[in-house]
Amino acid sequence: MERKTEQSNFNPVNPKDLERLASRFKVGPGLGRLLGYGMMLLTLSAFAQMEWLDQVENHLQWESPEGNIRTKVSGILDMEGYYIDQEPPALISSDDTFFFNPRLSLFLDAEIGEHIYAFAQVRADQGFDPDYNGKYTARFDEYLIRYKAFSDEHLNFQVGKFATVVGNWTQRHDSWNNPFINAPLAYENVTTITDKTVPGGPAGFLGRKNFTDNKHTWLPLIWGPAYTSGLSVFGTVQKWSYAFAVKNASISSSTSNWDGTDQNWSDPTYSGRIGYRPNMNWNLGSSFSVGPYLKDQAVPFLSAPGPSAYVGGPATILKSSGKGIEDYLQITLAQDISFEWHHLQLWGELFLSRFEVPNVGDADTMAYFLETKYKFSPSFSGALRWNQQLFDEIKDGTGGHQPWDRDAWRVDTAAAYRFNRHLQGKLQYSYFNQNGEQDQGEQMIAAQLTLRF
Amino acid sequence: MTDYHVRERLSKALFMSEIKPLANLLDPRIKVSSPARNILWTLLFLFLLEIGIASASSLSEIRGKVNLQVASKRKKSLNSTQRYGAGKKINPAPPVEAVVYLTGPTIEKHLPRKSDNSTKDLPQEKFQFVKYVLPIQVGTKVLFPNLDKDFHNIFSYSKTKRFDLGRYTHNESPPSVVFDKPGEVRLFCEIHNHMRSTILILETPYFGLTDPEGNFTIEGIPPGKYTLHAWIDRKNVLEQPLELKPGLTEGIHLTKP
Repeated sequence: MERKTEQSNFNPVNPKDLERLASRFKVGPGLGRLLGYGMMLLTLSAFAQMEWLDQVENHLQWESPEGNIRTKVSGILDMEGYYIDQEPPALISSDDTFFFNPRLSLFLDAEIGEHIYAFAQVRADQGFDPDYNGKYTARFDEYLIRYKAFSDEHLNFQVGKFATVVGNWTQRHDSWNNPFINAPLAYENVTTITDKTVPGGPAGFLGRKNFTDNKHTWLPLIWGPAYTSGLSVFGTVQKWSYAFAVKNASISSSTSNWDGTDQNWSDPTYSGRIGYRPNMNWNLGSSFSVGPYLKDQAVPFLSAPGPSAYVGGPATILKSSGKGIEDYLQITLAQDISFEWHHLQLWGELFLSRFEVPNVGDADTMAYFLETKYKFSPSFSGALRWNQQLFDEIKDGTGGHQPWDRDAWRVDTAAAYRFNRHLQGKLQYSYFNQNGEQDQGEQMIAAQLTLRF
Repeated sequence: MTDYHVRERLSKALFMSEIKPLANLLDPRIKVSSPARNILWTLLFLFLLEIGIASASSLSEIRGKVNLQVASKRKKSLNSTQRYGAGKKINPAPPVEAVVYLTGPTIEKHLPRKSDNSTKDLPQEKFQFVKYVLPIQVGTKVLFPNLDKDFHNIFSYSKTKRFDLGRYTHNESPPSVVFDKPGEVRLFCEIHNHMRSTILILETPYFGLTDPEGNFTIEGIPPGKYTLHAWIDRKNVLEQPLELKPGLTEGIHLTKP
């Protein structure tokens, strides 16, 4: 009787149930879980073959009887699996060598008349960056309203929470358009910079690099698409494009600072990009971003002597500087380039960023990547990316100089297969190398199945 | 085929038809004075032209109307390029038109095949395909000219033809695809998600496209029994049996029962 109940509760697409089944048949739990994921992928694949997804897509579009208000709901369902040989790389947080990360993103596009456009993105997952803590949350990652001053694309005003104008990666960062499963290294490599406290001096700051990345406190040069809040003006005039934004947080800010209510607006970040397209194939851009990166939590350490919070380095006594967070900026200059022709696409970005670190001085870093994608057939494409981040030397306080973090490079390779207009599978292998003795996330294999509607 | 061979065949045909004097005159192996042969050629040309005109008048023509209201209402395209930048101005989607075509045993007997170099265009302009649907015959090559000052990347994952043209500009010679199997090919642009069109590949040479009101005409059809089809979209294909006599058949109305 008990056995019957167990069988009736068996779910063939639940990896845990498959794992239990595997143990009964003396198959290892890892294989059982893999079988489970395999069956889930097959189920999803069969689901996506159905023509009714086209119908769903059509039904999710609505327009008013006069046709002047149009809305469209669309979505992306991602099923990701990661296999990591050591500490997980970049912004991924997990204690397991293998973990599964589903994510549902829903988008709302709306046009009101010829001049108003609104957009929102809601995402449900285990955190903006894969964080295998078993807690699922849903949140608005983006929301904006735009006024188009003219009927063409010359002048637009936008307010809300939206992707940074810096660089050229954000325009293709969703899982359907990104040739890889992760972001370029510059957008996710955790450095020893933190926005929550300040080091007592160079020794404390330099000591951080000997510890494993503290992913809940330390920052990358630019945090993914940096959906911070603010307003922007942008447009395209013939071969030129421009975009300027005033936002509540710096481009390196963590996801918890992106909402408009998360930061007061007394210390905004100013960013901009000028783009030039000499012909259809080439697209060149120069960007900048300037703004304070320290958050309110760091203020007590700036204004009064006291022990520093533990941030991976030894606790030290701070001297009162009399300065505020507005005195410590992140200043970034970036160049981007892209080329497209037939089945070939190339992208490259170079970042030079300076963090003004209290009690230390200027911590400079340079990061760049070169990325290519080629379609071998209507369905099959391959991509290759070379990433590198280098760290400048700072005074170590004893008369010498040291790089303030460990230089790193990473090579990413990926293959993608589009089954149809709604379903895409990707497989990625990355090899990451960092100077020093700390090994974290040297190799990563990741697979992603994306259902788009 | 040389002039010699043409004459030889015609001569044989006329001989078989018991028109022996004419056959002898055309036979290249029989010596006939050159002016006489030229006069004979002219007469023969006029004779064949007359036969052609006579047979043309024995063909059928159909006119009618397809009820396009059965198609699901077409919504205005929502510009898909504007999320992360200034969106381009796009045209409204092209109006719904139906493909009307004939099938039947008469066609299978006398099916004239398209030559391999038959070519049609399906341009993209102001970020839309210019046609809702393009009917072609099997073996037709379709060119996809890009008339916009931006990339297009047309592709199809249809079983009938799976292809991806890659990114191309208005400065390039338009890419092309030969459609060698009958069926329906749904087209999209990888860059501009709102763009849609369909190519309907038919075996029959007797087809046409309605206007946006649903009116259609098909000419030059041999009399006989047919089925008239109207393809409006993949869910709405209307059918009606027809028996055509020489001349014009009007007032055909195709609608959902």
